[in-house]
Amino acid sequence: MSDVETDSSTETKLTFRGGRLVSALPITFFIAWAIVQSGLLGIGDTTGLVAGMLVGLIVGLFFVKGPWKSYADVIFDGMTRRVAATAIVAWLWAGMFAQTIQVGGFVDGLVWATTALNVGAALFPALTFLFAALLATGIGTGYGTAIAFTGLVFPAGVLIGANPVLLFGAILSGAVFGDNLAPVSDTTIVSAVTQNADIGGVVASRIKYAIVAAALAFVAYLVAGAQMAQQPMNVGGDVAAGVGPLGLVHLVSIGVVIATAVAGRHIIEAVSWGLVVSAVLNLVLGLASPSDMIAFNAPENAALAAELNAVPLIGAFIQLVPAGEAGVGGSLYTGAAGFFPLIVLTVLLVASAEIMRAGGGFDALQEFLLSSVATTVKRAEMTMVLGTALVNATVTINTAAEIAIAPYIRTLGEKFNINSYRRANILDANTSALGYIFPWGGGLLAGYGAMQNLVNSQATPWFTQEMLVNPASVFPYVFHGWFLVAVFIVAAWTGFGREYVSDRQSEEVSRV
Amino acid sequence: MNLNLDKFLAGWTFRTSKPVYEAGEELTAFVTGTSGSTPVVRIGDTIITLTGTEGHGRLVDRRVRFRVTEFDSQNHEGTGELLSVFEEEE
Repeated sequence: MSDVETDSSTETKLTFRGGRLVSALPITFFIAWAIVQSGLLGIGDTTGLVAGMLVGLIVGLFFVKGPWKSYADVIFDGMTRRVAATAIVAWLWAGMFAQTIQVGGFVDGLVWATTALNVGAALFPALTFLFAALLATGIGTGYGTAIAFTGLVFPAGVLIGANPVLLFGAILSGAVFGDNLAPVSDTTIVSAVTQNADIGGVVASRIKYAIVAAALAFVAYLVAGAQMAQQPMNVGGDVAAGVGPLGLVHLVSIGVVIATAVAGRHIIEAVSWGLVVSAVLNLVLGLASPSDMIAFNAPENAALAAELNAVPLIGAFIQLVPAGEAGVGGSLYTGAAGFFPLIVLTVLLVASAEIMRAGGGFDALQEFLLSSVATTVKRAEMTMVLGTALVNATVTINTAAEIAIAPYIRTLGEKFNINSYRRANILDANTSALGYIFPWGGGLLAGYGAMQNLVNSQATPWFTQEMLVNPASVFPYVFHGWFLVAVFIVAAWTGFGREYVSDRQSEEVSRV
Repeated sequence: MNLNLDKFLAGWTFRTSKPVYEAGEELTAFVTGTSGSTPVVRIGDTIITLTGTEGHGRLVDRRVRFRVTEFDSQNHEGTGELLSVFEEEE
């Protein structure tokens, strides 16, 4: 606490040809690029979005009045903002954790549970929703859940006669649930850090919305499942053969992360504990070997490689491979590396938001919204809900959409002293939901990709091209996504769950 | 382990858009704008005008602590006395 002068003298101001709103050019260019790349052309490549953002930043340069150096300085200011660093660090940890419980057979455990309960076609979609939600809450990636469940559980359900479109919708619903709620989910992390809230507190305050929507969705899957059930297929064989329940012990690892995060520990500490527990469980129960988690794939002909490989303990991490396949691997490696394109994109997006701030674009937009749209707290919250929904409905990669819209949610919400938890929840619910509903949504595309792999594959030789679910037909059946948006429209209107800044302070988040 | 049950239970209500406060209450909130040159804190649709802000520079968008000195619960308007200004992390 202090009485420091408010205006920061280090903040560079930019002037653009064409006025304040032109400072939004880099980010607008990026959103247009994202819509063309992912929405129209169906390319869900995050590194492609990085290229779009880079071009946008260069285009903006030509509209700067005065020295271009000040534009460059603002890019640096943006890239070094704490919000980017916080998200990056949390993603790296979350990626390692998620991958480690996956190599520990967590998905296998869930597939086993889904099939072992031996439910009929009518109950199968509702149960699939529950288990997919559980997986997504553990590994924090809705995309990963959509891929794993479409590849493993979907064929099992189709075989027993569950409606394929409904079943795919149930899987995507589970992915939405976890993307929204998991403390290790990239969208959860972005929603918390951009609104300056602690991740544990955000997750705890989010449960009330998620549970209401999930309860409605579960009932909807029960009803629709019973009405849309078909006759079982007779193809022989068992899709779930060979998978066992042991991987379910990772529910303990997930519990450790959630409990530690909610208890107020920093997300790095929480996930580190989860990581330690999951690694110990993997080794003690024989679910994964040391080299499944960290592997030095050394070329056979390398000096000392064979000798080190023979050393106890150290050798367990070394694998001898042909020279061309040398590299480092394992769940810690692949889990962290999976986030690299998104990390670069985030840093650049934060830079382009900084340009908009320095150029007065935020102020211009905010003045318009506050004077003509968001004139009361109800209308402000409704603007936040619908604005987030709109951006996420058009941009495929929902995390990217969320980062782009987050500063508006923060400035708009703070003008009404809406609590950071509430802002984070409005932001993330619509981000998670809309990313899995439409045929160009990244989560849906990820699941659809896994479904295409089923066609005539070794494990599912009976699955034909004609059995593929049309991606454009799924949107009415992603019940949890729709209910989540509906819950927030009702919440904005009625004040359900609304908290003000003065009601309670979030714990400081920027403690990296 | 302390699971902070309060964190799960907070906000399970239908919160009014015009919160009511009493004189003497101490609050933390953002300064959201000015009325003339006087800093104003808007909490939902409730407006509190701040006094004692001289020498604190520009306060808009800063988080402050203040004590409510008067409150009209009919019009949802009041005045408050500035106690301190928070230094934000960013």
